[in-house]
Amino acid sequence: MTPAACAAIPPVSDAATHMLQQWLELSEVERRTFVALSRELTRSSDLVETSTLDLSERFQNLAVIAQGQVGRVDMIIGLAKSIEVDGEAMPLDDAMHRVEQVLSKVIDAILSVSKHAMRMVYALEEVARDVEGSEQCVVQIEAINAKTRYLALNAAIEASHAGGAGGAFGVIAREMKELSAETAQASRQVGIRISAVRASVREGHGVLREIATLDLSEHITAKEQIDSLIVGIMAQNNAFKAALADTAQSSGDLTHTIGQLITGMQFQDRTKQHISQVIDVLAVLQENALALQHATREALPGLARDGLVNGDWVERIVEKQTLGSVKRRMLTQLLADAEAGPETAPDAVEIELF
Amino acid sequence: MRFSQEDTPEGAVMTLDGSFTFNDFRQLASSPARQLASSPARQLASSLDAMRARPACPHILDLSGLEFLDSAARGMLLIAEEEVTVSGSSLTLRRPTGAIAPLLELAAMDKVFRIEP
Repeated sequence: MTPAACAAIPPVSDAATHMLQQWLELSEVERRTFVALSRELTRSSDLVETSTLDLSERFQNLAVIAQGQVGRVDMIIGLAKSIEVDGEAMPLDDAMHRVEQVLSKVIDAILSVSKHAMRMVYALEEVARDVEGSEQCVVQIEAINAKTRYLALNAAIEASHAGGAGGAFGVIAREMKELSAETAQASRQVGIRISAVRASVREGHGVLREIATLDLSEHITAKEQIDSLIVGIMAQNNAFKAALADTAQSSGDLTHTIGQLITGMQFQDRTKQHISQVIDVLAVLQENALALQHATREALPGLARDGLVNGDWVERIVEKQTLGSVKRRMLTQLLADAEAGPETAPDAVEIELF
Repeated sequence: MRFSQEDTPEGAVMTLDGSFTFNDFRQLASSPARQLASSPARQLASSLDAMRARPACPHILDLSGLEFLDSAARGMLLIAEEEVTVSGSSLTLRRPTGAIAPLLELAAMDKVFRIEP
């Protein structure tokens, strides 16, 4: 109904005037309530927006951290796959294979030592046999020399029996005796040297025996232990890589979920639009109420002055509010038709107003 | 070490029992040194000669009764293999048991010999 339409209203009774006065007061309470509700909705919308933006920012930070975690896990997986050798990355499998190769070469070297030591043993056996043959030769030489001395002695005796005719024969006998003495001397020297060779051969034989019989079984079985260690390390490394891969997958899933959360938080925009439209409706209602009040007062100037509100209605509206701050703002708006100032002590206004 | 030999149409089969150590080196010696060997040693050395005399034959060393072999014995086996191979024959280690089998495997002797389980 427009103010022009109200101008044609005929005089009304006192009862009707009283009721109109009540309706005007109710309209004023409702108008102020519309204002208060609009402000509360605006405040709530702002609160939701601020909180949502804050949450969104935190989730984005979380997404960045999760993405970084994915990168670090990928880096760890890369590190787990290889080790640095002489400044270059080497796959762990290759490194383990290289260790096995080295161990195999060590084993080959051990076997080669045993084989060559035994070859030397056999060679020394040949030398020992030759030395023994040489000793037999010396014995034969000494026997021949003994016969030579005997012949020289006989020759000397016969030369003596022959007198002057045996002079030359005596010279030969002396020469033979001296030759025998020199031969005996040479034979003794050879015997001494052969004994030295025999001792050296025996010593060398003993050394080779020690080398050839050196118990390397422990070293060979050490390869088995190292092989087991390598298998264990590789198994652990594979398990480590699998766990890291799972971790990377989880981190990726987390990043994806956070992205979905951030997207999902765009509900705030729609909520704000909805609230804005409700506020617009409330503003229209407020304007309509105010216009109707003005039209009524113009049509009936005898009605009471503006700004009167029924305390019972206000109390019934405010008593539904459980939040102290909301109650304070509602009371300020409904009773004083003004926006409440910044909050000081909680519920101070409420206590004062009631 | 105890030793026995059997000649088969395919090749010689030598059986080694007990402990094969450095002290048995003369049993696998080459011809001149072999003359110093004892009677069983001469038998074994004769078997090696017999193997060399039968070229391109698959000869067998039966180790099923062997309980121990030291490093020198492993060296002697390698020397025997070399000498037999020169004549175009092969030397197979048959049925190593107990601690002998893993020791031969760890020593990578399966790369040199054919080893029959």
